Amino acid sequence: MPEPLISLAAVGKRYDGADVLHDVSFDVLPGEVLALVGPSGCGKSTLLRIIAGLIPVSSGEVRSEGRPLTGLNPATALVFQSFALLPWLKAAENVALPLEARGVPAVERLRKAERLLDLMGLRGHARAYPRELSGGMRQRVGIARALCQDPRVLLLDEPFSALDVLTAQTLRDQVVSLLRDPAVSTRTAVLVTHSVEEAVYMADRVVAMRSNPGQVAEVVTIDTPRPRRWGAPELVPFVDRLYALMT
Amino acid sequence: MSSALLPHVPVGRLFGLIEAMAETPGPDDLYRLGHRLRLPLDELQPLVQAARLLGWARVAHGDYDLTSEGRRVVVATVAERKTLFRARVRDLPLIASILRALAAGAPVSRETVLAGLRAQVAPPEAERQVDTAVDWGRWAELFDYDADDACFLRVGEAGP
Repeated sequence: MPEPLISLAAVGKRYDGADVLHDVSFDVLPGEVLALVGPSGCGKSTLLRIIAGLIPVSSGEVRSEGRPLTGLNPATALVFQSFALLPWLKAAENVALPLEARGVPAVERLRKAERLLDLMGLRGHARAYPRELSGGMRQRVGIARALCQDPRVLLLDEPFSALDVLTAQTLRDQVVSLLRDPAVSTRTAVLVTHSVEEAVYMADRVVAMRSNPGQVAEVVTIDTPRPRRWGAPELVPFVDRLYALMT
Repeated sequence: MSSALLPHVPVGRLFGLIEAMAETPGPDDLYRLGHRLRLPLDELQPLVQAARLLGWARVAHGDYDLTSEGRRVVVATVAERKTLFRARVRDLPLIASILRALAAGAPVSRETVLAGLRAQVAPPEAERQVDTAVDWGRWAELFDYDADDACFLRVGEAGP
């Protein structure tokens, strides 16, 4: 059993006296895609921000790479549903931005940003502003920006929800293959999604959650080999089981 | 000249369509594809038109089918897709005309390209044509575009 990269033990979160998360425990193992899936209000996005170190827990403990997490988690980088690009910066500058905060020299920053844009198929758009990009391209820039930080764990918060069905499907495949690409150092991801089908398609393990308060119903292992096909018959039993757990 | 116009389709969606077309073997009904993807006809139509324009799909009597190159696209890597895409779009009239103008060595202003288009289409459509040409040309890495100066540049000539 490999040492978990991130470990949550009996995590609870209260807002204004109300339990949002109750007794949540699970590990993120190296090399896996772990999906958090559940109805809205189950606290899955809050959990992702707790893992990122953006929100403190009310009770319990989060450990990252073996150490208790006390502030921003340097082992993680977030990809947002809304892309969260700065409109006045070109694509490559958006990707390079987190490196600036780390004191990486400008030339090196841009070289790395362009290499990651190239991996996303967007080398030709390095000097495009976000408004010149389609939704799918904006999210590719968002993913490049996260990977540019070489996180041990990529945190994906509903990354495909704002995209149309055609764009979302190619991007799901691209994310799965990037995590196996020798040109990328990141091997592990936590995906928050409200889509059971998406969780089963992309994940190695799925944390099924319930709401009021948010808690783990069960962790389901998806041991179907890759590449997988969307809606394939062998995935259907997992989808059925997850729906049953969450409702 | 309407056949020479670019359909306004982001590149990522086009590849999504080709992948979706590959899910059924052999020819199938377009309406079934639209149902499956929950795409209304006005969204499906430009996508299908783009797939035809690039020689990746055939459409006849409401049926569609991938060409052999279309089937290669389905299994291709991003880099291979880029090569196939570049080879096709460089010959599309609007993109070819921008490339010819750039071959003279100087940047080509958006206004120059728009002026050429206004003889064929209404001003709003001319703007959209240029936007789509920018997007496709960038993805194919055939040329770059500077939105601040509103001009086309040869690849590698733009500053950071």
